[in-house]
Amino acid sequence: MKKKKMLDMMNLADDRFIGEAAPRVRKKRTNWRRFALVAACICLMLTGVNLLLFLPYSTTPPDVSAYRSSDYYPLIEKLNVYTYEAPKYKNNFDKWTNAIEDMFLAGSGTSEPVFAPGAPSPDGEMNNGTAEGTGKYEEVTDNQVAGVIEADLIKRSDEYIYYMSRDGYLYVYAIDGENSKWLNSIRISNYPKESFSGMYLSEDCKTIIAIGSLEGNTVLHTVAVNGSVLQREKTVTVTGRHSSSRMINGELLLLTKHTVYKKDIDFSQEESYLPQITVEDESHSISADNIYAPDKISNLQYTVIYKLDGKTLAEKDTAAFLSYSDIFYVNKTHIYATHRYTETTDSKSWRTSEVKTEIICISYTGEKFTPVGSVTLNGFLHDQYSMDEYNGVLRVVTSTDKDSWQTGPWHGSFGDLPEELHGERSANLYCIDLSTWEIAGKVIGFAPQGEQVESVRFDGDSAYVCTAVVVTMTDPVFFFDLSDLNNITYKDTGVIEGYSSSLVNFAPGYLLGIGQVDRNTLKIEVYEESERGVVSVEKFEMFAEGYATDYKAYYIDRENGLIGFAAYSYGDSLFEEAYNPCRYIVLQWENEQLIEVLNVGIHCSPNDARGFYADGYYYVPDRVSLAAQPLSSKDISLTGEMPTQVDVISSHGQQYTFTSDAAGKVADYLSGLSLEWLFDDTPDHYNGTTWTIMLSYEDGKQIILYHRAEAFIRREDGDWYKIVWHNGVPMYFSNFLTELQDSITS
Amino acid sequence: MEDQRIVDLYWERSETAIKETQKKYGKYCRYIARNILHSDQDAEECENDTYLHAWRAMPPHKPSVLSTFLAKITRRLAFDRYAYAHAEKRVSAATLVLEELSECIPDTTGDPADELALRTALNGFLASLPERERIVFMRRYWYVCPVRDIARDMDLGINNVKVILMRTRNQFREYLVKEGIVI
Repeated sequence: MKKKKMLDMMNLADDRFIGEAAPRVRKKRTNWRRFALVAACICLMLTGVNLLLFLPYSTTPPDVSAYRSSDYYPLIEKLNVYTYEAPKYKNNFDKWTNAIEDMFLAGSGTSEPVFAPGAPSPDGEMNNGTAEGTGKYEEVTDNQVAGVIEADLIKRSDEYIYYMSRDGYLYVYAIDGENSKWLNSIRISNYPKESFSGMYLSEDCKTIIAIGSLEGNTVLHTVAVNGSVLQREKTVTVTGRHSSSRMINGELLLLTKHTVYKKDIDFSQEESYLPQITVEDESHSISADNIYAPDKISNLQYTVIYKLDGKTLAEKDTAAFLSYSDIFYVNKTHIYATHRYTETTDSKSWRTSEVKTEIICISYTGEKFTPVGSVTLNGFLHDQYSMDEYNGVLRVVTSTDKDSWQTGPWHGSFGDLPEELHGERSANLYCIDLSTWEIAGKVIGFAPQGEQVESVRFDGDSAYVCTAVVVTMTDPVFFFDLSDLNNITYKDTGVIEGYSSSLVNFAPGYLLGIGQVDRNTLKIEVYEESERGVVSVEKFEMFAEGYATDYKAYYIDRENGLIGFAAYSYGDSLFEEAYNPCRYIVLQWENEQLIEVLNVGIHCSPNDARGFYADGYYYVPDRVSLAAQPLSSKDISLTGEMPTQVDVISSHGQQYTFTSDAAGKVADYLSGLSLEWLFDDTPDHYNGTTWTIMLSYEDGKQIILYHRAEAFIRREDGDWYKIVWHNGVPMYFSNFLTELQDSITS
Repeated sequence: MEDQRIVDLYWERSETAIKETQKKYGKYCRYIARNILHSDQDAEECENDTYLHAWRAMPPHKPSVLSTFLAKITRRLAFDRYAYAHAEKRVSAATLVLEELSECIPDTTGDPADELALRTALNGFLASLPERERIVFMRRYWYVCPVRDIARDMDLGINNVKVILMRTRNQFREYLVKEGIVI
């Protein structure tokens, strides 16, 4: 009952409460919560997909601020910027669409730190030789700067020659004219793969330091010398591949190249990005103060300069140059290092790319390396000879390398050059005042457009520059007068055939150019500076399929006017041993002529050939023998006058008579023969045709020559000479006569 | 058609009044009846009886809110029919509702309150409730809606509805005790 009353009581509820609670005729109520959840999930998915596809790749280098407290932090920042590779694509979408497109279109280091002075060489090998006594040191290398000694394959005293082969054998020869002989030899290294680039002989002639390269490191070997007695002492290995060296006042400056590799760089590990020095198994990095890096690094190669004691090889100081090139100039007080880079600038619709060189100067005469100053010049340097310090002025010759082109849409065909492309190729000379490091004088663009520097030589207030367009093999040579930096003047030879890869101040007023006429013709040319300008006064050319490209292989004796060099030509196998065609030739400058005074076979390549003149003899050592010959011009050398008549009779009865110009041609042919007087052959054993040649002169004089078997020639009863070649090209005498006769009769 | 116009049709004794009423509130009345009777046939009969009672009630009645006027008629008819059928059926939704409502009966003794006191007490209590609780209470005990329907319509969980109902019943009971209402 009460329940019913409760039920009835509910009927008493106000209409408003009844209406409020009335169930609405429902359309299906939207479940907003579920809708919001689904919408949120879709949004999240879309956001995720967008981020994955379009999130831009980072275009800034990684953050290295964690290393801020390191002494090397400035270097780390530079390395970080340099080693950072900006992504090729903007984002994943860009990358994947390109990958799909490609499918359809369808290819520091860390050297082991080694520097171990004091490690004894294995076995301490001793070779007694046969003679003792050290002798007096004689300079045989044509060093760029007097007193700054450069390593070489040959060194000598007044009594002994020390010659080193590239594979590490050291030979000792006695200097004794025609009695010169081999005395001793030792192998410097136990490692067959080690190669050698040069050596030093100490001033007291008691120590040789040989420089080797093995497995990316530089190895220094000391050899105790007592005349011909040689004893290996110790071996020191330093980090980096050998680049260059100098010996000054008993201190050895050694330059090596140490490369770090981008993939190995870990800034938490110093050895991954810094050159290391190891002493008795303990390694340490070169100090930050001694590392020089330009603002913009262009490569990951350090040039490391070690200053070592010239005898004990004890380390005195070390400096490293990051991104600097192989071109260093060293004089008695300073090291000049160069950093070549390309600067690109944009203006309006043009882009310009220009090669520049930063030169930094380091003093090494104190206890420590000390930076002195730097300068940046337009262009790049050819070699170490492109720089010279003289009277407080640094003189530098550079080659211009500059291009400008229009930017913007390119409508040409693939492979075409932009329509507007301007290139500048020329040469410049700069004089920098070393007290202010400002340019005190300059000559810009003195070379013809398109030519670049091939060789440079400074001599006091003079500078000599050869520029060339190597492709066309033409060059002018420029003589500069640098006595007044405010008014630098120059003369040139004009365009002449060939170019000189080396210029040498040879004699007062004369410059020697060593280069080539064409790919197979070596030339030695003498230039004279005169009021007429710069003129070529003498030229020696020879056909050669190979010749020395290392300047050190050329012997320059200014006092005696001698030039020695090596070259080879396979020539005719009748004359040359096919496997050993290399010959060493000496020219003498006399009466404004270059005369061949020596021609001997040698057992090495042209770049390894070395020779020198002493006391009337010319010495050419190699790994097999020593050629020691007096210099003399060919005994058959003719008077230089034109013969009036030449009669030629063969042993078979052939006869020719030539007069006037034809007679002169015969004389020229005979004068052009290259002869050797030291040979093993016996001419009397040859049964070939013998030509008797009688030259008659206007004054009644007659000269008789005998030409045998196309191989030998002598004057009357004189010594036989072996014919090497004629003007570099072997030519049968009989063929020459036939052709000459034919030319007359036709 | 607006409620006022439908009422006017009743007063005009127009036959379209029933038609319009059915069109607008037919489902509503069947819903109420079905909740109590749990039979579509009975609910339909109850709906038809509602129209008859409405025809008889207007005039003289002129309700301002036609929906609640019809809902009361339907509810009363449905419970009358329920009471008639109750003897033969053991359990129904209405039984459960009655059982729940019985929890609200206070344990007081004395003279039962009159209709006015009951009306005042009930509406006073309903006014004191928050809207949500009030709607749940009314849906359950006036409209006799199943708990799951209330939960679905109110976007509440079933347990949540049951808790709300339990609390409001207790509150109603306490209220009645406080007001001194004797059922």
